[in-house]
Amino acid sequence: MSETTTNTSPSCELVLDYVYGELDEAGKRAFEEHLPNCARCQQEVKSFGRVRAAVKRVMPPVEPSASLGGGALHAQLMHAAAQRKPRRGVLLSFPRKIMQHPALSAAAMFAIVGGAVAINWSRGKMAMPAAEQAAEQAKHGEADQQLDAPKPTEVATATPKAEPMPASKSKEQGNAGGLGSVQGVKGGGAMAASAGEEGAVGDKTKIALQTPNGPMTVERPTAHHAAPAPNAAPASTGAVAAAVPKPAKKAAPPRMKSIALDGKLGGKREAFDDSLAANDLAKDRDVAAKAKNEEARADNKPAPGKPDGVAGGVVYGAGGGGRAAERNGNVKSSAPEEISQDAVAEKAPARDEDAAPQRKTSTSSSRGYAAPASPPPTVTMSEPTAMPPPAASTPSSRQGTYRMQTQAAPSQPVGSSVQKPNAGLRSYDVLRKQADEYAKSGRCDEANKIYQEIENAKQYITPTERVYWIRCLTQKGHEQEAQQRLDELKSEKRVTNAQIQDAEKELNQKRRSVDAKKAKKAPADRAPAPAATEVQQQRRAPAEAPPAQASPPDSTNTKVTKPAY
Amino acid sequence: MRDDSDESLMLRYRDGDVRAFELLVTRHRKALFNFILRFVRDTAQAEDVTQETFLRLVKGADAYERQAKFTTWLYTIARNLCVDASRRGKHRKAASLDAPLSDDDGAASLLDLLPDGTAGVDRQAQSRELGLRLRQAIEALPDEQREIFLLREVADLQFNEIAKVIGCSENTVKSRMRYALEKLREALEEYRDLARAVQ
Repeated sequence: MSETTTNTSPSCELVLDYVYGELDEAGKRAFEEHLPNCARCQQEVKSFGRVRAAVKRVMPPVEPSASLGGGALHAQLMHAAAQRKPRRGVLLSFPRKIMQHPALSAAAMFAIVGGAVAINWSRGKMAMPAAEQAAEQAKHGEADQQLDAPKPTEVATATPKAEPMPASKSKEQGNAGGLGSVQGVKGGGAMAASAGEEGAVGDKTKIALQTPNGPMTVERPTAHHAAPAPNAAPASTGAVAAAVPKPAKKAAPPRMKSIALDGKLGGKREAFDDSLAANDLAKDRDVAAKAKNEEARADNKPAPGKPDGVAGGVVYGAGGGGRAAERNGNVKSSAPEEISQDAVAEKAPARDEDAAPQRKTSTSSSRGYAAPASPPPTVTMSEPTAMPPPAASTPSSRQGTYRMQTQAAPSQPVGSSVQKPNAGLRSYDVLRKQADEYAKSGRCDEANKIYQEIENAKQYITPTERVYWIRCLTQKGHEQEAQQRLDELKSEKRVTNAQIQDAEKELNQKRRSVDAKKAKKAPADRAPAPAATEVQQQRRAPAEAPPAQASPPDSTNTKVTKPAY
Repeated sequence: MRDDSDESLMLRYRDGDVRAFELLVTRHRKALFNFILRFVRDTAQAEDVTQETFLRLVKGADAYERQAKFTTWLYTIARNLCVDASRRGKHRKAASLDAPLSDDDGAASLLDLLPDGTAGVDRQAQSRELGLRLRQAIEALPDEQREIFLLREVADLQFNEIAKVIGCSENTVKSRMRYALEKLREALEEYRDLARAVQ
């Protein structure tokens, strides 16, 4: 709204300022010079003066009430003023201003959030979660498909003797390159996979290895029997296609080699460091020896300077085993207990003769590097077969994946070419499950055998499985051994009381029945049977005639050694 | 401290000196209360608005910067509160002392019925009549002219300060002031002799 004055002279606009005394001296003097010459200004000054005087007269200033002037309201006001905390600093004044204004707060919040989003977006770290998840799943799906399905080249080059092998197993075994290395890492124990005695028999090379599962003998085809492509790098999926030559991958770094060499990284740090130091010291020596090994392997000749002709027997394990053999010369094992090599070899299921080297080669490449010059054999590993249920398997067969797989391949000589070098943890899992099934279904002979085999292999047997074993032992008349194992189980306190009580109850019942039979038999015979006879009876038909409690237990069953879990 | 300017006192209070604030309250309480009283035309409400105005000062002390005169800030707060109170008062049925008791022109208000023992009976009657007429004329002013008139006459703010309080230009303030004075002058023409007698 703009009002205009009717004054003509510029000085006439200063009437109000003059009336209210807001003019400075110069302006006041100038207006007073103008005032005598302007009647209108004179009239306005006079009338405005009168109004102001009247207003002052009729509107005198009113004193506020006592409450406001010093009473309750004043006290309340002063209290509120005293309650206010003084401003602390200038630095926080700007954020305080922002906080006091909702619009500024909202703008600041938007700027912060928007800036963070923009930064993340520009760095490419931000993606829609659903899309990212879908991409991850798609990626994993592809990887799984690659793991499961053999490559076309594999199918083309697959041999009839190809043994199914789970991809994960090959991965495990290839992680370290050496045979016992994986289990050493997994179990955390110190073990050295090293090549012992070797010898070339025909076109196969026999390698003795000591693993936590016990010593094993591995036969591998010699170089002329192996794959033609020396640089054929198998696929990292576990299914190996060795026919297609691929560029050689970079050699494993020394540290990785040492891990593969000793397999002690997960278990003992000191041993790992020692192996690293030894690896560094022998580095120069290794280079020359490795080259010689390669030549010898290609020509199927023993490498010079190796004891007993270690003809590259372990060189297909990412290069670690070869150096271990070179360095140690003789086989050294940190396994707590020496197990009979023959016994373990007997227990080890037969496999395809090419499977073990191929598995090692494939898994070493799965780590991203390959053995420097090891010639991987041409072997294709097909899809692992599904595990048949225990009831479907023949009772006479050795319970386990390997035996069943061996039976599925009739052309393969059982237990001849390549004995199971490394059963792997998964195979023992299968054995465990099978033993449990047998124990549950009352087939205690088979269950006992499998449990004994697992224990001999120093594999862990869970308390529940041990309860099953105790029951089976009880049912089969091995009360003494059952009692011994039950006592061990009690001392470990890893099993529930109910399970122990059940096992005890069963054991006591068996004992009572045996005692009752003895009591019946004693008056009739009047002459106790000799212990040897009982043992023979027990060995002949343990299920039909349970031995007496006093009879000496079977030596194979009573040898209870505490497994090194 | 008593000679300090309002701005200095306010800055001191911002830094924690409560006595400075008390001095400010004492210095401006009466003028502020009168301005608010003429604006809202109710004593109790004027007291409340006055109290609220000072409380607003307390709350806004942290944000106070020495950019304008203290009185400008003070009366800006007071004027806004008065506008709000006047809006609420339009819906209120409370009796006003200044409001005429009847619809007739020149009817007396409650304030006129209050005793005034400052002058003689005749002069009291003449003064009462003049005051009544003048108050009616002020009440009849438009809001934008009335608030400027009150800020200038009662609060004694200069025109440039009023312009800042109102939020308009100084010329606009002077123009509105001129219109308000002319209207009041016309209202007082009838009582020129009386006014002279009163003066």
